[in-house]
Amino acid sequence: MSTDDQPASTPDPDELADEIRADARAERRVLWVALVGLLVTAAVLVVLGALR
Amino acid sequence: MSGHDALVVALVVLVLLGAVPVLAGILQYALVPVHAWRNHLRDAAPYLPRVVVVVPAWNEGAVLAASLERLMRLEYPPDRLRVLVVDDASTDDTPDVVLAKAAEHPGRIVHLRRAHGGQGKAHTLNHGIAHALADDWMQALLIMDADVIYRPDSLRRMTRHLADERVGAVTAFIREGSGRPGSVARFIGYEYVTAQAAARRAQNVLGAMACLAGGAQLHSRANLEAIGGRIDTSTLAEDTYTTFLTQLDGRRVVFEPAAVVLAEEPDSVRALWKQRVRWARGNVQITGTFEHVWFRRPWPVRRGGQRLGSWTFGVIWFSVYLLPVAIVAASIGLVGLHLVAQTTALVAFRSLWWLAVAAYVFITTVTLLLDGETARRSWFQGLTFPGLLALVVMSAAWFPGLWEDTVPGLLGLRMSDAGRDAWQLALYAWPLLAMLLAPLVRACDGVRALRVLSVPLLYVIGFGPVLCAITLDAYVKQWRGAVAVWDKTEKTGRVVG
Repeated sequence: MSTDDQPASTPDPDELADEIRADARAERRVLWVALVGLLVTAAVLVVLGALR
Repeated sequence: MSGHDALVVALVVLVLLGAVPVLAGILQYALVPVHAWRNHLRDAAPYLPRVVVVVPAWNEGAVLAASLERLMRLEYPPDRLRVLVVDDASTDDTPDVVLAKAAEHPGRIVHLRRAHGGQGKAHTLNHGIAHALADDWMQALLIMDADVIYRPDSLRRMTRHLADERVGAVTAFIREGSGRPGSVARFIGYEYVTAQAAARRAQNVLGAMACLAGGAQLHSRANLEAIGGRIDTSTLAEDTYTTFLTQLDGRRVVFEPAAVVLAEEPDSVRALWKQRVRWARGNVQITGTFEHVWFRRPWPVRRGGQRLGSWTFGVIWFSVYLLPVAIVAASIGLVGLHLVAQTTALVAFRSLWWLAVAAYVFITTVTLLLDGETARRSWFQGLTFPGLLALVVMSAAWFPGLWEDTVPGLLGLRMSDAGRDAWQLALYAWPLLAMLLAPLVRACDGVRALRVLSVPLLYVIGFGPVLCAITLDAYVKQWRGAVAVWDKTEKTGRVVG
C-alpha cells in the first residue's frame, strides 16, 4: 500500500494480468481456511464430547 | 394419532424451524471454499475504463478531505478518473472542503450542489448519475459513501471484472476501519466479515448477489442505462434494489474480496439501531417488491447468469429475513414441549444447541481466518457474538447438570426442584428472552447515568440477538406504517487506513 506522501503509480497491463493470476492463486486459501475450520470444529466437538 | 401426540409433533416442528437459520448459516459457510475455484477471476482481464466516482455528501465536511485525497492517490490512470461530489445542500463546511480539494486537483474533482436537499441518498445519487450519464466520457460509475477510504489498488481490482460484458456491477469488501474502535464498531467489523467476506463469496458461487455494498458499487455504463439510469427512490434499501434490477436484467453482480475499502461504522448501540432499522425496513420492502422472484427458478433467463429465484438463495435470504420468527418458533416449541413432554423437550433442546455449538465453532473459526486484520481487532467480539449467556446455554446443552448440580455444588448449594424447572424454562426460552431484552441495551445507551452499562449488557445479551431485535423492530415499524425517512449515520472521520 502506498504511503500518504507518495502519489500512487499506475500499473501496466502486464502487471494487471499478473495481479489477476496472483489473486486467483491467493483465493485458493479459502479452501484451507474451511479445512482448518472443519478440523477445529471436529476437535472441539471431540473434546467437549469427551468431557461430558 | 391422539391430540397430545399431534401437539408434540407440532411443537417439534416449531423447534425444527429454529434449526433452519443455523443450517442455512452452515450451508453458506460450506460454499465459501468453493470460491477457491468458482470465482470470476478466470473471466477478469486488465481493464481500466473511464470512471466517474459519485460521492453523495450531506454535511460530510469532517470526512471528505481524507476520502477525496485517497481517491486522488488511487493506482489508477489520473486521466481516467473523475470525482463528482454531490453536495445535498450541506449546511456545514462541505462546499469549502470540496472546493479546496477541487482546486488542488483541477479537472478531477467537481462540486455539484443541489439547491434543495434532504430528500435522501438515492435522490442525491441520481443528481450525480444524471450528470455523469449526460456525458459520453463515462464508461463506468462508482458509487461510494463520503467517509469510505479506498485502498490504492481497490478500484483497479474492481474494474477488471467489467472486462467481461456479462458483468453489470462489482462490489468490494467494506472493512470497518475506525482508528480507535469501541466495542460496537469491533462487533460490526466482525459482522462485516461474516456478511461480506464470507456470505458474498458464497453468493458469488451461487451466482446470485443479495446486495452491492452502498459504499463501494461499481456499475458499467451499459448496466446503469439498462436499469433506467437512476437509483430507486421508493425504498430504504436502494443499493439492494439496484442489485436485484441488475441481475433480473440478465447481468451478473460480482463481489471482489481483494478490493478492500475502509469505512467508519456506528460505535454506539443507538446509532447502530437507527442505521439497521433503516436497512431492515428496506429489506422488508425489497422482499415484498420482488415477491415474484422468490423460489421461482428457472426465472426467465434473458442472457443467463442470474439465479435470484433459486431455492438455495431463497433459503439464505429468508433465513436472515425471518430469523426473529424462527427464534420465536423455537422458543415456543421448547417451552411448549416442556409443559407437555419433558423428555422430548430435553432431546430437542440438546439437539438444537449441539447443532448451534458446531455452527458457532465452524463459523467463528472460518470468519477469523478469512480476514486477519479484523481478527486481530475483533477476535473477542467474534467469540462473544452470540452473547455470553448464549454460551452458558450452549454449555448447559453439552453438559447436563453443569449449572443445576456441579456449579451450585462447588458453592455448597443445591438447586430446588422449582429452581431446576425455572432454569430449564429459561434455557429453552433464552433466544426469545435475549431478543426481548435487547432494547434494554439501547435504552441504557440513551440515558447518561446508565450508558456505562450498555456495553457490558451488549456482551451479555449478544450482538446477534441485538440485530434480531432490530429486525423485529423494523417489522413492527413497517407493519404500523411508520414514516420511512432516510436517517444519515453520523461519521466523524475516525477511519485510519
